[in-house]
Amino acid sequence: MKCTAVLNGCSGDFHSQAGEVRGFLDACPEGPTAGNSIIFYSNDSRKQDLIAHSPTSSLKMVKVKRHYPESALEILTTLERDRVADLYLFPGNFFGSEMAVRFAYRMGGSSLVAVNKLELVENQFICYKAVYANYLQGKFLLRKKPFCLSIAKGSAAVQSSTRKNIQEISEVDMAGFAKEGCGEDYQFTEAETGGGLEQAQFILVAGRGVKSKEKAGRLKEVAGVIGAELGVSRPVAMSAWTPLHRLVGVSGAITKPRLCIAAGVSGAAAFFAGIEQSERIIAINTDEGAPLVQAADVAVIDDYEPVLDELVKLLIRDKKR
Amino acid sequence: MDILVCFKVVPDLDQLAGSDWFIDSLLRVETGYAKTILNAYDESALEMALRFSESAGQSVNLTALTIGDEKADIYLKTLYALQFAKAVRIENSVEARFSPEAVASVICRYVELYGKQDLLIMGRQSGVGDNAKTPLLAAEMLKWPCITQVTRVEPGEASRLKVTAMVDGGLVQQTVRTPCVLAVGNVPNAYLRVPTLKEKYACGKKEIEVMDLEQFGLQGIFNCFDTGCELQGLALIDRNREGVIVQGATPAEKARALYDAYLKEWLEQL
Repeated sequence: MKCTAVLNGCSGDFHSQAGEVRGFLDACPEGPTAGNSIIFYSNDSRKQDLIAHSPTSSLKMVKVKRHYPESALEILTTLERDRVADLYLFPGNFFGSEMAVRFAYRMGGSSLVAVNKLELVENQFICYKAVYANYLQGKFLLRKKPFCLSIAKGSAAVQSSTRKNIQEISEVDMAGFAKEGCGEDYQFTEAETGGGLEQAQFILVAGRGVKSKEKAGRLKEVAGVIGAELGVSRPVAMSAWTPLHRLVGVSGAITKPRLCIAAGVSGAAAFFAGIEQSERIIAINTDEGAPLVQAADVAVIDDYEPVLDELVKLLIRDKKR
Repeated sequence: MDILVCFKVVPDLDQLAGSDWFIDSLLRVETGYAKTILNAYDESALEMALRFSESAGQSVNLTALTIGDEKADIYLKTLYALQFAKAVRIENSVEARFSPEAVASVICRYVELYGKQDLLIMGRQSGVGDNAKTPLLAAEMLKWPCITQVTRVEPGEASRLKVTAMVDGGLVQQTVRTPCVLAVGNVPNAYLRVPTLKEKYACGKKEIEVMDLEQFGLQGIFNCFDTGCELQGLALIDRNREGVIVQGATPAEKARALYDAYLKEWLEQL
């Protein structure tokens, strides 16, 4: 059973989208094989790079003025009306999570968002995804074709190598198409990056135990001294104690560091999903019963501030040697 | 301008210990004993609607709508005290956790039958089902445009709104015509305000509008709606690791023990 991948080449994270799709399909050896890709793009200068990183050797390049979901949905529905695939696979970013659901509705199919595993059992698709705020894994049977899935962020090993065997490219120019009434005065501002939380090898994450904006600022300094990237849990980010791009968890960054120190974090499952792929986790928490203590490799049961202060001293001492 | 804000009351799942989770043979999960909270994204949506109402130079009628049982009534009362003109609960005690299509159908039927709305605001996702589909499906059913990951909405000119939303790699500000659906994402400092005692007292006797699915011609919808996705299993995700507790008499002593036994070597391996 073949699938069509739908990607947003207007966005700066295209390589990660394409790598995610390849990684997801490779992790499902008994699942579908990638048949075709549909890539929306707006900038001609990026076109060859997008083609080179396509997750499939057969692809359709769709030129648009810019990515706008209402227009992209109309275009995609029109393009696929007469040649519906069994499965459409979307990346786990905002684009993919929205398009999967809305496209499935328009095509009379079924959709699931944030799927972390796919199996093909007796010609039936079985999908797995986290539910109950990430505490439970749900298993779902899809019954209405086309099946439209978005990949759970961080669930696939990203494979971002270039492809040399592009066999078939078709092109559609829809740059003149725009759905009326939407997106007037459209102004895009590039996000401030979190210093690459998702790529960082060493992260320091802070939770509700931080208690104030000033203390969150102090942790940023500590992270700088020890060479870690600072991340925060949802209560910290939602209190605006740090910029939103430092948010870790299902609604923020899914990190995969070699080392994670979690200070004052209780370890709610939706947060833990953002650090669970850490090679090693150290928890510092006053509550021995906090879920993160059990989910860590090593834990210190105490106030995080004096513990971190001492660790900083030790690190500085050893750096001077 | 008429604004409908849809919200969901959910159990605070973070309060459940590992041993509290029990999945029965019908794949039901007992969470009735956990305290309830407003779904975090919906809470931001409600506060966003109140801020919009304050900043609009025109009359804004706010309606709050939820589907569920009487556990939601305390929240609806609070919304009355916060100057929502209508607080509506559509009675339902049937399982709806993985039925966003049915939930969206009920919301749309409310919009069609009980007054034109200019704007529909709700959180992008809620705990339990974690479907992340309801606002998108409502927009599709109503054939309205939808802006997702919304962080701010302000009044614009002539039936237009200025909407700020997160997109992949950045933020977008745009002008959108109403009617439309806004799915609210991560919004810092958007916890729902707390009404004063005076505000609560003033609205204390205002009746919540409780409606029945039969009034919508949708009786039984949560039992028979075919979502095309059938739940076949649920399992607790085991995240436990070794959890070695570092010993020491003082924080500094524990830090030194941590550093000497683990951290120094792990940092060298980076």
